[in-house]
Amino acid sequence: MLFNSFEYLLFFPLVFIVYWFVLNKHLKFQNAFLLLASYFFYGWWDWRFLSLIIFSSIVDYTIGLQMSESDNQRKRKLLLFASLLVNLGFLGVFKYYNFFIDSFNTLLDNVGMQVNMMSLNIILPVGISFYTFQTLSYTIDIYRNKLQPTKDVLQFFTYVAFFPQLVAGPIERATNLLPQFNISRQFNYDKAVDGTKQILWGFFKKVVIADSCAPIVNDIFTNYQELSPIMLILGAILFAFQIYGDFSGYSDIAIGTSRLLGFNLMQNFAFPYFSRNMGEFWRRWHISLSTWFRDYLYIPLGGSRGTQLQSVRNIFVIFIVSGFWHGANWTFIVWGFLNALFIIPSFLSGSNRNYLGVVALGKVFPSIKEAFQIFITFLLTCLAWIFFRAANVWEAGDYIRRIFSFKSFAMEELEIAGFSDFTWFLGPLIILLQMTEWKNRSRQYGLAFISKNIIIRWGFYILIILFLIQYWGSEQDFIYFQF
Amino acid sequence: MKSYLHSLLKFFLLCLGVVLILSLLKSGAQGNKEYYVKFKDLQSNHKETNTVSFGSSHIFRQFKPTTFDQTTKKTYSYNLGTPAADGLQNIFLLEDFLDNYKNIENIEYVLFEYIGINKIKGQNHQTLRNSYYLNASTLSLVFGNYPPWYKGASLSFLKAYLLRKLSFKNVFFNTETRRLNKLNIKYCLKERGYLALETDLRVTKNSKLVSRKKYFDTHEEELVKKFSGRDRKVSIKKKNIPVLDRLNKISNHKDYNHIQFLVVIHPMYPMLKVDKYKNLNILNLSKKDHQSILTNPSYYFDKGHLGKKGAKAFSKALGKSFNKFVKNKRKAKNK
Repeated sequence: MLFNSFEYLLFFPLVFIVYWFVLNKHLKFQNAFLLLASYFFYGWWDWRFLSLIIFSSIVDYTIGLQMSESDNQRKRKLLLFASLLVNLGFLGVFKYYNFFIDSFNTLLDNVGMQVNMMSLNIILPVGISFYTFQTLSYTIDIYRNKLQPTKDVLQFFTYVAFFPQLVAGPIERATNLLPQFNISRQFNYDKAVDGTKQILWGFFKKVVIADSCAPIVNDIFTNYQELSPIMLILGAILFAFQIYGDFSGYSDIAIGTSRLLGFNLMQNFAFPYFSRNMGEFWRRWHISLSTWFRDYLYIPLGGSRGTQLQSVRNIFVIFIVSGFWHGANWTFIVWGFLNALFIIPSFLSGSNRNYLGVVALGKVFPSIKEAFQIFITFLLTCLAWIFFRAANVWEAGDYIRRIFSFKSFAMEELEIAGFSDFTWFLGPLIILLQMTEWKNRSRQYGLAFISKNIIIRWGFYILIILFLIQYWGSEQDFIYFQF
Repeated sequence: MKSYLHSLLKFFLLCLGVVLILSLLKSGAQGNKEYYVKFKDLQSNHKETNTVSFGSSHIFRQFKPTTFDQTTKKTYSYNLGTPAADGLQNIFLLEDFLDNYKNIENIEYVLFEYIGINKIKGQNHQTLRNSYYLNASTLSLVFGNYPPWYKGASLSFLKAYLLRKLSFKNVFFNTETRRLNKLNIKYCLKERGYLALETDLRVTKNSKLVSRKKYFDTHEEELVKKFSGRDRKVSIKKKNIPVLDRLNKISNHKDYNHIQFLVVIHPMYPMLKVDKYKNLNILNLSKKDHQSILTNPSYYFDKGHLGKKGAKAFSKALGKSFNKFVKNKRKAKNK
């Protein structure tokens, strides 16, 4: 079920009413209901893949208990290995098997050998990368003695399948989310209002910004060979806003929905396009995944503690693995590699952790230096996004090559890029998005504070609603569902 | 909890008020700019018109009034079809026409294309058009007469109704969204609402622009196979029930006794079960004897529409079918 679907507009109020009005005095019933609702939410897409989530939950629940009961380090290691094998095994089969087979076939083909290994005709279960990483964090944290396993099977199953963040994150750590299933939940007015506003803002980003950018981006990337550099640059910039609106919009809706149900999820996006260098960008983009890789891959590899060469190697490893996590395609690997490449200079110069705070805090505008830094960081990000969006590496390279060519712009290109009268509103809408987020850049989400004046505040919310009504309808899937 | 729900309700009512005010500003033509321009042209320049046609692009591009009139010898027709307009919108346009056309007493025949109500999903190019329906009056029309859950319609149908109904989109944005449509309007007025474009356009397939010739060189067989013979997909949908129900009611209305409402079933569409609608007259071109239109690749303009030659063939076939209908009607009257 998509958040931006009509089904969800019926589903969530129903869940909300039953959850708070019928089951509010029974924590266990609330949890059981959340589990059922989550399975229903997921099963709406394809109920068969529920078995994967259930199996994964059973395995990790059992392994977690076994691990905590054992002092034998070897046994604990074996149990952790079993958890990794099962979870990454599913991921490998469903997400990466065909990639490896196709790459292997191509490789053999290139050296003149004809071995056609069969690829599998399977679909990728929605959100498998997200819930797999979530359950993995549970067993790894128990292995590291950072977490006590839960004995409540219901709580654990609900933690794995919790519908607001099941299919596209944030990838919650058991240390944050799991204990919340054990605490009696009280309805909180401020929290609920905050959640509602965050949902509204998430919908704005998804439905108005991302879904409006999508068709133009599609047309530009499909017909890029016919377009001039200016249109290609526009395509890359619009994709940057599409993917941001899409993914951070989803996160906002997920976090807001959780707040309405009495849960606190971690912030997943902290206004990444206001970053002053790539290091800051990666502390602000998809935070739940970046920190996951930091804690479970980068630090175990040695982090920045070894020699400079080892540290550089570690950075490349986590970015390439992160790219590969996004999809079984060489484009994602190159995207990860490029991001590592962009971050290395600031790492080597020791400036990668220079900007831990909020840019231009307490000021209306950034300084010229800050604005320039933000601009350059955004350009680098857009350059990398080209690989993320392109169908293959060759196409991405060709796209970039054409950006630096001298083809002059022709009006016909607007038609090729699917421009309509409607499209011209996109510019002001993106400016509105950026201005609102800039105003709230020190807060948790873009619509956290508008004005103390209720007329201005409600007027702005109504404006957002009007935009939503205007743009609602085309129901584009969330990009990150494919991961 | 109470104060939260109270605030939410207040906000919801305020939003509803704003949306309703905006929807009141909507134009009479359901925001369909192409229809609006054609309607004006019809009203000012073609007063002798006694036949009008409503429908989607299949009518817009394929119903050629001059050919039809030459075949029937008793009509002067005007093409009011508009691209991407589905059944429900055509009903609303028809009602709009019946209410506002000054020379309504001259109208003897209305040709109404049978076409379903499109799903929103995956139909970006139609999204704007699909949003016309949602205003308070159409909402009552649909729900007053045909509760979709009762008729067994799908959830997407209910969604289409609910989410479209309160739209005010056409206050700000009408269908004149693509430059191509502006050209369409300019060209179609030359031939009484019929759009005859053939060679200078490129067709799109999976968002990729290819030349028309190139497309047909590779897809000729596929086209013919898709729309003719056994491979045609049967898609009789429950979704059409409200459209036909409504047309049935309009045709029975005392104010329109002088008009014959004829449902046109395009050859590309399968047979429709219409036993229920005894009062509706059907010009069914999806029967076997009209299939030659679909088996001739040179008749196609793109993968879903006929070109100039095809339009001529279709309009001629429709004219013949119309003549047959008139003849049968006369026979029945004489009996």
